[in-house]
Amino acid sequence: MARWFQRQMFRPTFTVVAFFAVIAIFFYGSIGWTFLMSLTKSSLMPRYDFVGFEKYADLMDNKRWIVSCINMVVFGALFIVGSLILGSILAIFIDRGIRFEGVFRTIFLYPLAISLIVTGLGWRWLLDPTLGIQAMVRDMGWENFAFDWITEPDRAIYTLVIASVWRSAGLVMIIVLAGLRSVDGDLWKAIRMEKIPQWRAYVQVIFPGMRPVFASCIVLLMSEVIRGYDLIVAMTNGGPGISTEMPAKFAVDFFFSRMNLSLASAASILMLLLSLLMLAPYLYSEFRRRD
Amino acid sequence: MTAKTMLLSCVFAATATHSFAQVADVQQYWTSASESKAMNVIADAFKAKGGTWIDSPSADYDSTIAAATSRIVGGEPPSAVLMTPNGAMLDLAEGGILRSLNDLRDAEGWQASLAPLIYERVTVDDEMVALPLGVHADNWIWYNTAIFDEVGIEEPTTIDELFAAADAIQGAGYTAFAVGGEPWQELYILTDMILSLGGPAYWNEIMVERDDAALQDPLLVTAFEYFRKVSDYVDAGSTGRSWNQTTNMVITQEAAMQFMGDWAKGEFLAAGQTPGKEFGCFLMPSDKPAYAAVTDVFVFPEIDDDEQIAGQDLLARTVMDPEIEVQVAAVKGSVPARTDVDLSGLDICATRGAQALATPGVAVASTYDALPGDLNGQLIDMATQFWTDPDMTAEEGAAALRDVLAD
Repeated sequence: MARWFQRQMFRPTFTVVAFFAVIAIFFYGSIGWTFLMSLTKSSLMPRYDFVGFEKYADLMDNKRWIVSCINMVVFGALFIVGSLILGSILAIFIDRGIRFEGVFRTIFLYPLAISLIVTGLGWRWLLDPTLGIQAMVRDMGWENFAFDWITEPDRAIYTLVIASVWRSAGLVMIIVLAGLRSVDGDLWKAIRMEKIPQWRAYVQVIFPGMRPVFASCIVLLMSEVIRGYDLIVAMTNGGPGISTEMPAKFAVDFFFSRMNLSLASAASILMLLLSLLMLAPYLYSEFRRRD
Repeated sequence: MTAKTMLLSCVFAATATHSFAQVADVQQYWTSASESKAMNVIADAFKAKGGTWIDSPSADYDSTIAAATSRIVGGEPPSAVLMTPNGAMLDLAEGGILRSLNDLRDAEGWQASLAPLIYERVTVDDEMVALPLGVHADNWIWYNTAIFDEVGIEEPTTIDELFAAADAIQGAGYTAFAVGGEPWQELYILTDMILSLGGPAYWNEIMVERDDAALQDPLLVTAFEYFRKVSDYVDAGSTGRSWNQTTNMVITQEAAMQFMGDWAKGEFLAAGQTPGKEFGCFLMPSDKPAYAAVTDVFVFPEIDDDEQIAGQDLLARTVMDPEIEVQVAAVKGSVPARTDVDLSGLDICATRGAQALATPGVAVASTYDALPGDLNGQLIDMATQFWTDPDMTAEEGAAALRDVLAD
């Protein structure tokens, strides 16, 4: 019996069924339950008194949620574009065959190895006007130097972009570098023969041929944007005021400290829809290509 | 069998039922230096009475509630949970999850010995569902006595004197108000202003009854104007600063005053300072003084296990022991919830607090304790929006407050 069972365990169908069952229960099951909760009035404990889409309407009335969503779009766009540009430039420099390539590669990739909490705390200290860069420059004699974005409600979101780009540019660099290394040598010969300037070669010939590489970068960075939580908690904790709130933080706060299970569930479901929406163009192009 | 032997056997039977272990599994978050000392006072007394103490600490309030609710839902409830008598407690009580302590209350006469406000907070639909460990208030102002002496000012007794003092302090080159950057700290400043202007009766109208007419009162606009005025006295490093770092500014004579609950006292004590000497305290000045209470309580989830039920009984009696109440208050910086205890061992600030709590009509529930659901959270969001957005007028602030509170 035991041996029969053991044999069964290794049959592919059995393994796959077990795998899908786990996914179905824990992944889609959780999504389903979250959706169910978002239709109730549950506060601290799950309660099954359904009120339809009332909580979604509440969410649309909630200024903090609206600010969170706008922040995600602003932050996401700047962060993705910034990381792609900086990462690509770094990759080009390294690809030019500089000396100590390994050293630079490690330096640029290193921020990625640091936890987001440490990154956030470090940048928070650097950007604090009384401790960090501003204080340092003023001590050196430039009394009027000001760099206090982190204390200004309409600029604090950009400090998050700076910290995130610093962290993720290395990742983009390494992926783009791998892409550059696989460019056919003949292509470079042709470019040299045509006497095309370097920058035009990259912008108009090399990079357009690396579309899939950039697509993977964008998908990776997008997931960072949507689940952005730790960096914000460590760096601004959503402040000043609510100026750097993000949807993921909204959901966590309302689940665990505001004891508002239903509103947090509604926020989570909207986040899921939002991420599907953002990924839709990518998924569409991927599936179309396969046909 | 004579009546005497019958009686004896009854006594034996009664003691026999008490012979099993009394176990308390306590889900709690008192982990800082002064807090854990206070929890140890309770735990040691509980063990001395023969109980077995199982400590289940969490990092903070939120994770304690999260852990407790998942344990309750999973069928393994802790014997006691440390929390505050807020919306979450109401939720648990309405879900029928909390044990009613009416039997113990009646046997021990607890209703008469507790301050009326506190008794009201721990009672839901005539069922006593929680026991107070101690009471804090969030409308204190803490000040550095050296700065007050240097500038030559006394403790202010009206809101105008408070701002006059702030001007004098700023003139002497100090930061007048140390304010941190956490949104809940900003809400406390706003509620201090509302309490000072309106007094306890008005407070109850807007926070407890949430009366529409009271929420229209132009007094709220004035409160928002004062709230905005406080921001003129704040230093540049305020953003994101935690409350205890902010208290440290008063300790180190960098700033003169801080609006903060009396948990701040622990920071002064830890720095080796004495109340009334290096630092002082007064409740938010007003002609209608108020004491905005934040209570720490134990709730006791319904449980099947006999040993744990016996443990709950023993723990409940331990917590309500007048001596334990005083000892907890002394190490934690709080005020005992019982009004019939000996206050001679308490410092000047705790004595002031205890007097305010015992004066009829002065003690009110703070927003944290008074508001159901996530209304307190919504108020925090509203206060911090107003605080960080200088373009928002006091009228708009008052309207936003009304939107949150009027249902």
